[in-house]
Amino acid sequence: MPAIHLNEVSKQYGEVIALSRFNMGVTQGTLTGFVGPNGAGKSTSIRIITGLTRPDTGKATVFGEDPYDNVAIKRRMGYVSEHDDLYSWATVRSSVRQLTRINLPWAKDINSIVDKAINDVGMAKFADRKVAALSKGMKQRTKIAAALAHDPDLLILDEPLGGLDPLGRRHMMDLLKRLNRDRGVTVLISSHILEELEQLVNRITLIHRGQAVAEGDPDKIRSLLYQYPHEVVFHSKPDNLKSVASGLVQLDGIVRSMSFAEAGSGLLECRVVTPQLEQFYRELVRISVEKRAPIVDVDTVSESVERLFEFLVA
Amino acid sequence: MATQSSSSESSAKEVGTTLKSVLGRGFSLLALFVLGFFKDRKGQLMLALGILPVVVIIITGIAPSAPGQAMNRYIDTIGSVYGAILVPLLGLLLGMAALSDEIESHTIVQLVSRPITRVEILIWRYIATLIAGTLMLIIATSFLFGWFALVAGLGAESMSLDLLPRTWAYIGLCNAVYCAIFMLLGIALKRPLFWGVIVALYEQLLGVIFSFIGGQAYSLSAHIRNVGRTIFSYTPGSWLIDGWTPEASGIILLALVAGSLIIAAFLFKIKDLS
Repeated sequence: MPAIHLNEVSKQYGEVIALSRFNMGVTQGTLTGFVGPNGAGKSTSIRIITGLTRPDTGKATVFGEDPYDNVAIKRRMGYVSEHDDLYSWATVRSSVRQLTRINLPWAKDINSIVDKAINDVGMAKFADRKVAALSKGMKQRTKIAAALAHDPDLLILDEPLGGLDPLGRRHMMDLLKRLNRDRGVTVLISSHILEELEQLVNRITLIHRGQAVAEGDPDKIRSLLYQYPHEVVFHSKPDNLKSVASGLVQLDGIVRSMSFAEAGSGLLECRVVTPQLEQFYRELVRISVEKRAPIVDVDTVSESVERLFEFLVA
Repeated sequence: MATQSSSSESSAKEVGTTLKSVLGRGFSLLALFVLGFFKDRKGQLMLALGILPVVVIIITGIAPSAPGQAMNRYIDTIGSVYGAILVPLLGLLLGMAALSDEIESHTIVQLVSRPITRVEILIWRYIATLIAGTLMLIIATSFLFGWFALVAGLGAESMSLDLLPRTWAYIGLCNAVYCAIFMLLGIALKRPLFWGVIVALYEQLLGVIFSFIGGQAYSLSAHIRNVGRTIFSYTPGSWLIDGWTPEASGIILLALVAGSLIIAAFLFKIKDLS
């Protein structure tokens, strides 16, 4: 039985279609990344999974049951939302304790459970600090502590890495990996940055404009990435640039388009769109050396995740 | 026979476990809400607002001139200042904000994603609002009692101590009615504050107008005062509704509270919280 299953789920807010016949499955015990640009429908999907809203059509199940207002399912779930949803008047410790009390009302060792969760997210030093006085990253970690203190089978995190510094991000990734590996917790984590999750997850679902565009392991997604045409810009003196450009256009399947522009300081700019980035760079260096035509600088125009999704949809 | 008995035992055990679980998470939620109310600055401001009339009474020197007047003057002040003005106003602020504040600050997400039903959240939130509001007004009205007792003296002829629990019961009744109605408005309406202010400020005014044209039965505060006659064992003409016993008014108020909570629970259950 999958931990999460969305079958032909659609959701509309007024004129805006948030999800359109969206399908998704999360196998138990996996660490799944849920990636898409802002407004793609990630948060709506997660709100349906966590029972904050119902789909207009289609069916959502968590551990085989409808999650909407379902106490039995929520007992097995931990959720970290994208919002600042902690009580600002409480301290880190009292926040986690009060919320965990709802999950474990009669737990006698509630204090040690709470302290362990706070310690796991690296917030032990700040346990008595008020939530209102925490940085965004610290609030994020407190929310994660509140979501995992009751030892859930399924942990759902909506953009949890935003606001964390690189060290905090690494710490969080290690924690999620550990929870998945050691306790068998199924993790669904969303982000709009694909690279962020590649090293963490063992499955990725790509969503764009409310529809699933790709699903698979990170290798499969990475291979899709390599097929994505990248734009490279390099500068050189006019003669050298012409010499390199003429060498590049003779290569088969490497250059999709090429354009030139004045770059000032006696330099020319060349923009190349290539479907094979790695091979392009190898050939660029080879041609430049062989033709003794030095290149002043070279850069890949940073492709946004939105453009990748547009490519995948096309 | 033995199978039947063991099956009923196991179902009784199951009911007991469910009840324990429902009460456990309910009390946890109640503690969270009440604690939040007193830690929040809004709660402290409301307490100050509750004490303000006492300060005004002390400053203006309004006090009973004779011990015999003290009790009646005290009950009238509770009925007119607290029961008719402050409780509806605080009920408006507390009841209206009870769930809409949680929704606006997104803390509702933390609650709804935990193992507790939406109906339970609504009911415990109502109970917490009722407890917090009543506690706050108990503190405020105790100051009023203290001032009257100081001026007129304590005793059966002047300020009897049994007035205190009677006041608490009356304040609790007012809170129960207004919080339920305003909680419903907070969930049901898109502009709840606008309609809430209309209800809170004009209800008493309408009650007064109706009293001239013989229609007090349509006024909420008139029904509360009618029940208050029994609570305080006090029967001035202005606290009466012609043809209505306190019991009948009590049934009307109970029906209003139950109806408001049932509709609010239904609306909250289907509310999209995304």
